[in-house]
Amino acid sequence: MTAAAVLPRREPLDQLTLRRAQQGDERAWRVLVEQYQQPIHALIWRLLAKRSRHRCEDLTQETFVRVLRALPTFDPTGSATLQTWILTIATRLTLNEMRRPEPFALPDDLDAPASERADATADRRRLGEAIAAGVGALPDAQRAVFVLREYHELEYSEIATALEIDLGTVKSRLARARAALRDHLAGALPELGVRHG
Amino acid sequence: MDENDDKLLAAYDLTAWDAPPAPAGMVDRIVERARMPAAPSMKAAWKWKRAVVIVGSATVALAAVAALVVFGTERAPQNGGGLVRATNAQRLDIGPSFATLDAGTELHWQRRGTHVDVVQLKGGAVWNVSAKDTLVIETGSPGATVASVEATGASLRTEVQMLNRTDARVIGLGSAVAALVSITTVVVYEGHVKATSNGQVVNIQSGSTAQFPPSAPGNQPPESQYAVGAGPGTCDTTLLGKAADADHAQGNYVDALIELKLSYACKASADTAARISIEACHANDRPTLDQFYPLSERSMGGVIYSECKAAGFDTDALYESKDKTACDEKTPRQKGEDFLNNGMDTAALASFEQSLECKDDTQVVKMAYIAACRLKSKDKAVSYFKRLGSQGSLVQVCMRWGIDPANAPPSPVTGPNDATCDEVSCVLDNYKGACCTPFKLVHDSQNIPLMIEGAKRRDRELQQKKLEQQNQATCDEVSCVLNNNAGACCAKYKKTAATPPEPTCDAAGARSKGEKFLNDGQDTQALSLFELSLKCKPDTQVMKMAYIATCRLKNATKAKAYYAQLGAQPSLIQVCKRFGIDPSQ
Repeated sequence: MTAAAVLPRREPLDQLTLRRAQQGDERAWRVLVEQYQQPIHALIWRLLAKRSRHRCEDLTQETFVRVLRALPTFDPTGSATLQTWILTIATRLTLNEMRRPEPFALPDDLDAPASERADATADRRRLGEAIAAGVGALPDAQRAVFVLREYHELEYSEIATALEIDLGTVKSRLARARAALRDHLAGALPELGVRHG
Repeated sequence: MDENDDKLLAAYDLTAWDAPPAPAGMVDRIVERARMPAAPSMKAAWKWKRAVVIVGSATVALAAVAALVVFGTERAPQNGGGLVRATNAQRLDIGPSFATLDAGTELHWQRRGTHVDVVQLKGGAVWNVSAKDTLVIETGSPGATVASVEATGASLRTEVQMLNRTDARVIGLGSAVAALVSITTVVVYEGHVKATSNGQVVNIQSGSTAQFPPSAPGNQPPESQYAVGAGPGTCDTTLLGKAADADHAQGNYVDALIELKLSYACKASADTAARISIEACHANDRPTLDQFYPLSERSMGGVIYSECKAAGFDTDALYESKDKTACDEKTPRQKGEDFLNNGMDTAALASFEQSLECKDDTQVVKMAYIAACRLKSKDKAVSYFKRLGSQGSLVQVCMRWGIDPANAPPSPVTGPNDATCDEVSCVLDNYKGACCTPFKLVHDSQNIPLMIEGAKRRDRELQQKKLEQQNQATCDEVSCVLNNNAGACCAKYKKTAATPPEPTCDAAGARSKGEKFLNDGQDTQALSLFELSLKCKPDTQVMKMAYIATCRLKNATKAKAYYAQLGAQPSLIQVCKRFGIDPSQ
């Protein structure tokens, strides 16, 4: 089962609120940020993989600050939806950030929320950890394509636009990412004694 | 790359890799940051510096020329105007001011110097009025204005909504009647706006909404051909009734119908409604019959049916065709979608309800639910929510508008239910129930000042309550320090904040809380607490954390001060550099 198949689709921001946000109405800004903060935070968190959680919030904030400042230039009738546009900004910011060295190391607490969840079964938690490790081991470029496709339902053409790469490159990176992750999971899960699928 | 690639990981539930929720309070931090003017990037600053060095005096000369152009030749925008019918959402430039029009909006504008007159006949528009302009928007028809809105240096939305299905036909017949069926809503986003309606002047503050029902016909001179004997300033239902009788006797059924409608607008009664239905049969006016027939029939015990039959009107065929073949669910659905996309939620809901009368469709119910939520129509939202099977995923749609459809208590007032909520049943039930509000507004237009005063009072009460709750929630010493001791509850801490630290000063507590805020990325709060801790007790570690918070906040002055206090260690420079600050400079 892919993540995209089970993740709830978000209602797009209504046109009136979008217009108000474009005019700088702070209440509309709040509605917009509340609407999209969770997917954007999740995207950045997954793209950062093993990096510091502080950078995740910094980047989420930075994404929205840039989005709100650039919002008057956003064309709702254009080819990109608002969600895709915001995801694109978040992805580019995160990839840029990932190219920089870490200024100071902080404890890796990225996977803590999953392991702390009392309601998660042990199997599911192990699968989650295995996926996190597998995706974390992917090259940044492959990980970005994989996360945007599998967790945010972007079309190939939208991913190509977001990452400024060819459609063929999107497909090949996605294929390699999926194959690598499948191999990783096939290797990791039997050791854990878990059967899936 | 083929379809099999998509199934490569089908055996694994990828959702098992769960992302944590976004940190609490992030929205506030983002909005606060976005509100601040954007700082120029290092790259941009460098480019600017180079440009200054290269062009030097040429820039000064250019600036001088630009200043001459701007200040020496500025003049009022050219006079002009025109009639606009927006088939799609569009922008309308009227000199320094502009408007964004919803699809379906019709208006006429005319600029004379810095004064712009607009007559908005229907639809919705968001106006950005320049401080140099005075914009006067009259809503409704010329000569039958519902409201006159005056704005300068403001941002607002005006919406002219029709209240029933017969409006288009009625508008075509007379402007006085048009005023009876439209309602004006004004939402002010920025600045102050003055509105005049029914002789009352109202100042609408930023963030407020005001609604203006149509004037009672007595305040508008009815057109003589429709209201025989009714002079300006009167609302004489007896005369209108007599005129209708006379026209009916002469076979002028259309005129009689209009006179009865005017009479009904003056004073709504079930008797007049029934007469309207009978006249509609004679005038072959299907929309009026659709609106008035069913409930009038109920209250009049079948008299309308027999009257219509006797008049040779094929009532059976009409209702048979309406029920089976003529019922069009697609057109109102399409209209409703357009209205919904343009934020005209009242009109959208009415269209969806019209579509649902013909055909039950889950998608349409969902859209009606969204419109009801946006309108904050609790009863309708709850009704549609239940109709959709009380799906948990739909709760959030309404929650953002302050309605919890899953746990909404029953409405305290009873009234007509959705199925029977038309004007007649509302009259009979003394306008009880939320669905009767539009009809009440039409009927009771004398209440405008009271309604606005009531809304203002409720708003003041809500603000007061919110302030009290905030005070209660945040009235500890740390919160008071963060809020600069604002509010009565912080008075007891003022002395503490103003005097040197006392022996009870909690450096460790402030440090601990500050660390928590720093870890959560709440840098402003973290810095305040570290500074509080440092006031109690100087500590190098705390100073380092304050330095980190300052860097993140891009506060160069403080960052440099802390950097110097920390002995100007080169290893610390990198911490700030990633935020565009070089504390060693």
